Amino acid sequence: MSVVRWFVLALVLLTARQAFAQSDPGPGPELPSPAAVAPDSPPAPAALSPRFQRPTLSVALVAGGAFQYLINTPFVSGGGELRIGALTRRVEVSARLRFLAGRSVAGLAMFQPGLTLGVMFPVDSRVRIGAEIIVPPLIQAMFIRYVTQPRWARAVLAGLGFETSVDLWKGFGNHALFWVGTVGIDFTTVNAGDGSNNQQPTFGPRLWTGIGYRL
Amino acid sequence: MLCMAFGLVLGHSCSDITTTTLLCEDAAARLYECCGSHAAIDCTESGCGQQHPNFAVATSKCLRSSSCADIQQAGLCEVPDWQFSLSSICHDGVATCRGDAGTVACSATMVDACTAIGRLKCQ
Repeated sequence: MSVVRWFVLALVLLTARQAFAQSDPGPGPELPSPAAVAPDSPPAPAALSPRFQRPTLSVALVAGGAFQYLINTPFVSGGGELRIGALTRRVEVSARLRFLAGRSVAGLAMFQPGLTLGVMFPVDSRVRIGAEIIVPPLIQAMFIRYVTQPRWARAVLAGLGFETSVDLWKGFGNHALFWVGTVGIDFTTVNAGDGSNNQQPTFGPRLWTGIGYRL
Repeated sequence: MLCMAFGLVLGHSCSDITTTTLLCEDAAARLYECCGSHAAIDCTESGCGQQHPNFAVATSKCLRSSSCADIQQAGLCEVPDWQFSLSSICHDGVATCRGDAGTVACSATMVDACTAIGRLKCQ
């Protein structure tokens, strides 16, 4: 988990640096003109620095599919997520409420509700890269329906992912139809099964791709 | 629920899943999907080694990765009983059972079940 924490710390520092650069009224050679960065962004209020852009509410809906390999078991699922956050020219931070339903490749039904955090940085007028962070208190739960006994097994997942999104179509304001893809690692624990209730860590890859619409 | 609450508050991750149980359930799901009728499968696991899932990890992985045609062809849908005993080993289609006096004869149903598993190509 220490690697995850260091990564999160690095992201926080990067975000803070970006925010400082935005509010800095002085000239900066590395900062492109506002028109070149976001031609469709709303104009900044006259009372503020021309470099400063007040964060705007960002809402998006995404539908997609996922593949996970966790606890020695491959899972495929589909579902959607609601993203609510703040968007500036330099960073978008959003909370994501996600619900996936699917099955193991062999046939065990499962569903995954989750609340995650996304931090995305525009690298182009249409392309953003960033990270999806699932660290407590943000979690993704996983419920698996057993077939030989009448119960749902459960696990709590943490994870980290590298995300890319590409605006396929841009409308007025921040409206856009976009593709998103995430490659990440999920972490959870499993019961050791020796009667001690000890938990053993387990990791697995996760792929998520979808089509979304930003409002 | 208590574990999940602690997970939320303290940042711990937790689950009630054991790997062997999940793999056994996954293999059972495959058998249930491929066989119209089938013998009962027990994937429960209790502490202190009192009870193990019917399918060991290697057997589970083999079963769930097999096609329905292979499962049916191997005769797994006709197995009358999956209740392997704790002291039995099924390896390469050969059942070995141990008792207090050493190796003992396995029951006919156990031999049949193990032989059927041995017919799968991944064994």
